[in-house]
Amino acid sequence: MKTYQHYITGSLIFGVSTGMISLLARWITGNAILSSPESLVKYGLLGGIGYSLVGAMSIFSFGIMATKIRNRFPDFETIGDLFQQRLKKDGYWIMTIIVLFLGLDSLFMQAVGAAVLFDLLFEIPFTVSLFLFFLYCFVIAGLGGMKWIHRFEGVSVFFIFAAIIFIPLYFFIQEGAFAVYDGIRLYHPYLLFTKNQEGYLFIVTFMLVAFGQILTDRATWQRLYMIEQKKLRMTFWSTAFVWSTIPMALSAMLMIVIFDGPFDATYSLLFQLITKIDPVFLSVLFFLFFFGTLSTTIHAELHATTIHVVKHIRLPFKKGMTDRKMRQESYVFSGVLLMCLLIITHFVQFNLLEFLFFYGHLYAAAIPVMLTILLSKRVISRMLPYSIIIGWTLGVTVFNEFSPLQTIWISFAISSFVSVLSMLFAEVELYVRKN
Amino acid sequence: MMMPLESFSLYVLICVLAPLVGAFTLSFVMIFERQIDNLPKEATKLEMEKELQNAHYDQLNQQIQPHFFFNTLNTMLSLARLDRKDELIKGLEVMAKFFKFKYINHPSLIKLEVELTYVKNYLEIQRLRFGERLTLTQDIEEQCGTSLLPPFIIQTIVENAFKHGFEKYSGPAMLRINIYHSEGFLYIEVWNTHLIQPINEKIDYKPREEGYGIRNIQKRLELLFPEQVTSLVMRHIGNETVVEVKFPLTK
Repeated sequence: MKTYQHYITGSLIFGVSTGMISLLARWITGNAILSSPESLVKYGLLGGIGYSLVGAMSIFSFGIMATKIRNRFPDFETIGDLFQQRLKKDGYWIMTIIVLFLGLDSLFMQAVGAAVLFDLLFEIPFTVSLFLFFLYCFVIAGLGGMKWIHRFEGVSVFFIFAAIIFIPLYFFIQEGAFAVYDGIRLYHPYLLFTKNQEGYLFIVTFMLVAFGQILTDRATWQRLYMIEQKKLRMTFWSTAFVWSTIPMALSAMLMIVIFDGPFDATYSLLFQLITKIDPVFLSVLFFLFFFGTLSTTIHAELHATTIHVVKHIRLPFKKGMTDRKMRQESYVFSGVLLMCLLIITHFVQFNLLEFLFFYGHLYAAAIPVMLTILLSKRVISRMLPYSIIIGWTLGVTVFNEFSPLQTIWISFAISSFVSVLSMLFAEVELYVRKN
Repeated sequence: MMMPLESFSLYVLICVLAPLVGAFTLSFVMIFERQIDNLPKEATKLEMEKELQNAHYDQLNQQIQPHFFFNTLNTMLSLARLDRKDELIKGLEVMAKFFKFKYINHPSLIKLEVELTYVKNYLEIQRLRFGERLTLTQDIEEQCGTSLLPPFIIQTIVENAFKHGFEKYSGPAMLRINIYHSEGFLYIEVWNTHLIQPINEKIDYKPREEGYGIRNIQKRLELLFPEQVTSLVMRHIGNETVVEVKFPLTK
């Protein structure tokens, strides 16, 4: 039986192109499909460009830090390894649980995306189609590990690009930009107003949230240690550029959906494009686009979350676990996790905006803590991870009179303040001990 | 202000063309990554060849010092006069092997056992000269024999020990060579019983200058193992000088 390290890395070393494919497969997600319509509808065409900027900037910023992280911590495999080295006792456990909680957020968004897609596409109950989809994900990511995940990434990225190139091109050639413009002016004139102050706040705030998301993303951390060190920065920067082109194509696709009438739910807007596509070739491509987007993200997240749980939550309690046992536990956990997701998607009432803001506060509050763990040369205070909980709780509960975009900044500010305080406390503690 | 049709058309054009640019960028990187990778590698290879040539030049011109050569010849002459034919034949044999290795071209990496054979020939010649004064101890891990290293590394350090230690000072000449591996690194230690002036890390020594050979080893290790841990340390422990070289174990 192969080692657990093989399950984590697949014994792969990525160059720029393979690293880009793997990062794109991870970061072209159901979140973009579900939430980019929201940003377009709420903040107009500026929202579409803003979404591109947000994602690109966060990946770009992580790229700046990537080489420094690898130089300072050369022998890690996962984000949990960082916590294990830098944090102690309750500090370690709080960060590990928060990161697990954030992983579940991403998986849940993909599951909702898949449920909406299958419900729209197939005549059979979506329980069955979703079960089959999760079974596929379980076999590839849960059982296969990184090696099998990577085998499917290239194909998925190929179909994603084929779809977002062909579909908008086909529709705009068929309809013409004038007809779409006319339709939008009639049904959704608010989209065409460019002076939108809140739009700028949205862009800056979501840049913060997206940076928090990538900084705490388990799958990205795994890839950080799989890409050749000297190619790290170039890989992340190229990925940021290529990724930025995708939300723009999605906003072109959205305009095709909404230009000829009103709509109900924003998050399922992109999926409704299937009802407008006539050529079979494009319909198949459209399905493969969504299938590729959702499956590769679930693969990456399921794999990373499973490893996080087995290596950093189970192993500390069961120190003598062999590689074989860890693999077996990974199979079981990934299976159970997918079953839970299948059940949850049936019962949870989903409100996209509330969901995004709920996690947005958490990601923003996590930034100062993660940066302190990564950059500080002092001994990390046990108190530090509590900053996330304090910042997040106060941001969500106390400041009701502010808009959610503003409270995200409040969470970030409180967390930063408490982080600085806790580190000051750590220094005093150290000083007292020395004397 | 509402966006006019012209601006909208431009926006749509950008949105439609954006994924094409993304796909093109990705394809470009996929196709040309290997070629782009090879550009710095070519430069490094050229620099490495230059440094190897320098090492070779150093070996040929600096370290075959005339006095070493004439001393060896005189030793051979004495052996002939004393009619110690067997020792004379052995001495000439190792000297021939020693010079043969010096004058052939070497790849940038050779097996440790090949380097050790060369060092052994050199030490055989020195044994003829130093006689019982020279004591040699070797502790070499068996698994290390097939690992690769840049040529003349051990030879340069050993020659240094003779040139700046045993030949300058009288008394017993004890040389100890330890080679072992640990955690993915190969360690070479050469100990000698005289205090040799350590080299200055900041000075870029010129050919024929004392310390040039050691700096040349450092440079070649940095070129061969870029962005990996390599080190060459010379320090005094008690009355001994040890030169320790560490670089990634390569098979």
